[in-house]
Amino acid sequence: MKVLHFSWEYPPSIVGGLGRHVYYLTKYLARLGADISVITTSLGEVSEEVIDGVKVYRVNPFTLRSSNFITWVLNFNYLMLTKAIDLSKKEGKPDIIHVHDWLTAYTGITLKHVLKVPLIATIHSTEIGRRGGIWTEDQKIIHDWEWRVTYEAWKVIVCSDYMMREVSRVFMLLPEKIIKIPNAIELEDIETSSPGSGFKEKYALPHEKIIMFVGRLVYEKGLDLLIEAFNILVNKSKRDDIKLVIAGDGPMREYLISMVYKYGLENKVYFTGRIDDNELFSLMKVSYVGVFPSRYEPFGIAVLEAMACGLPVIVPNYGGPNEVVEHGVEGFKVFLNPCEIAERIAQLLDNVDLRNSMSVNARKKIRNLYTWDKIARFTLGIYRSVLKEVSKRDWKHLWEVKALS
Amino acid sequence: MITALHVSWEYPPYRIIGQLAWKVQELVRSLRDFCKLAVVHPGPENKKYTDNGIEVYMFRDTGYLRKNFIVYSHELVYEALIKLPYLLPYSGFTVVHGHEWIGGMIALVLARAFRNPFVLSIYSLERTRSSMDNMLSFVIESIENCLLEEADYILCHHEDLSNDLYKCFGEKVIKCNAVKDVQKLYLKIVGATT
Repeated sequence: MKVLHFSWEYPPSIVGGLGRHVYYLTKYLARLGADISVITTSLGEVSEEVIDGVKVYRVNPFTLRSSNFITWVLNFNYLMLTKAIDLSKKEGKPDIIHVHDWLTAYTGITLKHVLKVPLIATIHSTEIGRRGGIWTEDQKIIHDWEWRVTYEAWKVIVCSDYMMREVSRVFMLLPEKIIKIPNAIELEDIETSSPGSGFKEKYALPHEKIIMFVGRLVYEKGLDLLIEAFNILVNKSKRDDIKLVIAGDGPMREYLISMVYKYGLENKVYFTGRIDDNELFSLMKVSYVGVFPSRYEPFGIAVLEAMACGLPVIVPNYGGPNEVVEHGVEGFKVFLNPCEIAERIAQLLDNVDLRNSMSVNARKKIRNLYTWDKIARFTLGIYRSVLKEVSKRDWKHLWEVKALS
Repeated sequence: MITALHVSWEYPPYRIIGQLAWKVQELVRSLRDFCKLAVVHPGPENKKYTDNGIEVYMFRDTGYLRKNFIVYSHELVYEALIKLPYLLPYSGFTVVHGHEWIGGMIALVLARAFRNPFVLSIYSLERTRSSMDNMLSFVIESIENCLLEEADYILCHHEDLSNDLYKCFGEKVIKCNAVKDVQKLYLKIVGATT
């Protein structure tokens, strides 16, 4: 089975969780014997390579000039489209096209019709969810592309029940068109990373217990709430034995740093910027608690990674993490209230037995339920059922009929 | 038999924005007795009609309310490509001929999909049309450059531009002073492809 994936990010060019998702999914699909190709963007060159059994074709997203993010996305989609058509002529057309989010919707939908190939779309998040509504022309354009791709797709894959409800409500999709396949993580990477001696001291003093966060520094991740909670612990509860380590980068960094200075926490909060996976997993392994207070989180791969590292987690009581974490078993589910977050952090820091039992439970759950091999097998099953359905339908395409004469 | 698919952003009477509509119409009408033709252009509805014996396929474009013209141009490509497989009943052309950059964007994809040579007609360039003092012009210019690179043949309908284009793109640039230049090119393509 030939499957062509489109993704705007793919290692080493990674922006968020989407790139990792596509990388591992395609890698494990290839391991299962599917013929997988990915068309993605590069950092400025055109290239073709095979990574972990997956054929990766990169277009240069800076070939065409762009006036803003949306025109940039549409411009590289156009390049992806011509690349995909050339590829289908050279290597035969794919059996399935799989796109991820609105960012490659333009290419996916047009290719579906030009090549007459069924389309599958994974919606990782929605513009309405990210922004809390549609307020600007640009958001409307993104929303329109999201609607188009969910309308045109044979099946829409989402990562959680929360997203199933959201996608169904926002795009008015029938429930039978939506399939839930959770995200997963690569255990191999986590197991091989190990914090060497003195690793913890890079981030905290010997007596300090690390509270950690990882993610993009954007409003929806709710990091301002965590800093508020941390302020309560340090300045009101007068705890000197804690350190907040924030891994990741994003547009809210300046604002968050100013918050830290406002509360006088500059010696207690460490902004690491972007760090590589090995460093991240090692950091998770020396931390005491992971806090992910997202205002909007369709799934939250970072939560899975933290749990796989044996880190008890504090997550919101809604969204994707709400479905992954069992309250009081692998972590705590909270209302996004700094007081409650602070209270739960203190509870985990002070109760060693609770922390240890949650750590064991968290590792066990991830190993049993959230591995890429399982997810890839399930996805392959979806591809097969779609192909079966397509073969029964009468999909008329005039270009197969005749030549102008 | 030479069969040519012409793709234009405008074509009378349904979509007239500037001179291009009339120029394209004049050209295809003058080619009518020379080869088999089909014309594709956007308009207010999906419809097939004939213009002096020429088959014309109009697809409905809905994105023209966008404030961002580049977004509109991509949405136009999208609308064309999702509708034409169910509207245009042929795919076996000798040549796909796009007019100016917006028509060229659609024509390039069709030419690749049909495995046909892609001819791009240039009547003006962004740097001659505008003062190049805004991002829109730079984006359009970069799209034009991309299409000029990708085109198999460039038909230059503007006397002053042809020398500049020839310097950049060499032999594939053909000066087009009269319809016989287009005919000559089509015959050359048939010769090259048979």
